[in-house]
Amino acid sequence: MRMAEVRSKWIGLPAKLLSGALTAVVIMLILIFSLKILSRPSGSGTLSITAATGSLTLEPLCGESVTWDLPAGRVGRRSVAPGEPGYETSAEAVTMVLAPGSRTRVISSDARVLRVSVEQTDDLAQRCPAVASQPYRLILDGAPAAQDPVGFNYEARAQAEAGPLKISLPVSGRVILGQVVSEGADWRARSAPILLTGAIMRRVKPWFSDEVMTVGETERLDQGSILDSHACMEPRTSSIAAAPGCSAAQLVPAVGFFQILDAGGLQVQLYARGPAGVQNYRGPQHRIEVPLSTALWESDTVKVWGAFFLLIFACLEQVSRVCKSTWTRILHSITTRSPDKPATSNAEPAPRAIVSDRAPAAGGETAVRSSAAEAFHEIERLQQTNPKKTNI
Amino acid sequence: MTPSTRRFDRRVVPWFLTCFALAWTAGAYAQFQPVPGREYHEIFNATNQVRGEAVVALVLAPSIEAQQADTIQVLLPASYNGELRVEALSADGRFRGEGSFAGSRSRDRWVALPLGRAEAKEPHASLRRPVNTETLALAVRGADGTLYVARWGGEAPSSHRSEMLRIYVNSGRADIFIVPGKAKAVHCRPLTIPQPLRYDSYCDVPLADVPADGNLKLIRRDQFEEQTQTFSVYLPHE
Repeated sequence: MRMAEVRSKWIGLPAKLLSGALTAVVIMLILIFSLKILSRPSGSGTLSITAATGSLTLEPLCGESVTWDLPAGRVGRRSVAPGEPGYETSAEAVTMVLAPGSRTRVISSDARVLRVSVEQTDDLAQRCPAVASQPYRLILDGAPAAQDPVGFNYEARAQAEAGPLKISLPVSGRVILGQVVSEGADWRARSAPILLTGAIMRRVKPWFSDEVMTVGETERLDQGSILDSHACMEPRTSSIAAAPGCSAAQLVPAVGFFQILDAGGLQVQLYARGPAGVQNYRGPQHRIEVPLSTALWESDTVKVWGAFFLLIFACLEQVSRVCKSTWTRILHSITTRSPDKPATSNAEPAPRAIVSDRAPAAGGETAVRSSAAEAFHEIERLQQTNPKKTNI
Repeated sequence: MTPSTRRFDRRVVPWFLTCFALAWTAGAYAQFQPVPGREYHEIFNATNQVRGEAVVALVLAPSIEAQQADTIQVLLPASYNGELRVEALSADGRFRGEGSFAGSRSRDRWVALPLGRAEAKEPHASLRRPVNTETLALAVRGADGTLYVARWGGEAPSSHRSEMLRIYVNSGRADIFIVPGKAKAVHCRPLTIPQPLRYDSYCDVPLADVPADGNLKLIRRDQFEEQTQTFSVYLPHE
């Protein structure tokens, strides 16, 4: 019998250890999984980007296209070599249709000058399942311009007496604000169209709420920084820039508009889902996004329920102790009010039964006396209540 | 001629022949060795020195496979003797490999330079040389800054006149054209990366089209303004 007990005791210990370890592993896995999910970008999170910049680059995403109506200006076919005829033409009205696979760069360092360069980009074209053979089209004075395999240059220059150009154009897709300051190469110096100022605000719609709120601190953009509305779309060719956890299938275009500032440059207002990439001058790129955890923490409903459950868990031991003692008191009071009734609860047996069943050998005489006296009193009580049925 | 003089000549001839043979052998197998303290190493996300050249690198027939090799070759003048500075650079400036070699040229025009295993010196094994024929260039410069034609890999070129010379150019984000001699201007391809820092275009020119004097002209067209520059490619006709 003792051997069996010892054996069961030694078998039980590893089982307990194993079950404890398994529980810990399961809890850890759940925690890691939860953290991974919560660190994903929130579907309701938005980055509000305001910036003044010298250059803006637009790459429409798959299934999107952008049409710009531009004022009168010069248009150049980029494939035409210097010295060859047919490079430059002029038009009173220029319409640009930009589709996926195109990259458009807008530059304005002077309030009276707007420059646009359009070219083809293979990287984005490879991402889209069905991309047009010619991802950009130009319509000059109502007539489609001949396609150019390299791209187009466009320049609008307002007359001095006309004042600055007043143009507002929409953007949709991947937007890059600012550019690197190129290293010198014995070319004629010209001011680089860098990003001047900017700020990013994070907005989120908390869980179980329809209200949009601003969270976190405003991210200030340094002069000369480069902002990429889609940091996950870094070229796949660069092993350093590979952003982990990015899904190209969930790309949402950044939308907004820009207009020419009176002092020169472009004023941009942009709304992006993120993660956006910010690269300070010659520094590494860091990502800005609104994770799912932010939407969770900012939810009042989640906070209230979380606090409630936390309170319950924290007071669980106290509550159970109070409940147990209350129940014991109730039972005790029931048994003391009606001592003739037999105890029905296993947890709280009647004191009389305890005394009679578990009478120790040392105090046996007292117990016997007590039970005998009680029996005598019981008989007397019965005789008083029902004298006819007794023979004594 | 006296008999003593004749005897002297006979003694000198074998020594002369031996020394000549040794010198010839040493010349034939002369190697460029890494300069101690400035061995080739690769850096990721490093701060780069500000440079100012339009032509950044000259590479012959680059290929992805060759870029993974640990040896490069450089085309040097016959009497070259001294240091060479090797720089592997990515267009976005995030990767840089650099090192110096010293030695003298052998009979072969192409001199092999052993770069060594980049992974061994890089603490993060996951970061490898970002091989790409467009965005990874290789520049080999002499002590005076002259840029020489280089090629990735250790295999000797068969007939280099049929190969293409890739010229990596910093155009300042404008359209760039190259005019080899009196031939027609060739449009250089802009890089597809959004933020090129070190260079932003490359021009492919058949070696056969490079004039004998090696002079080439670059034309930069920024919207509606044009600028030109000339540069020279050293191609020995030995």
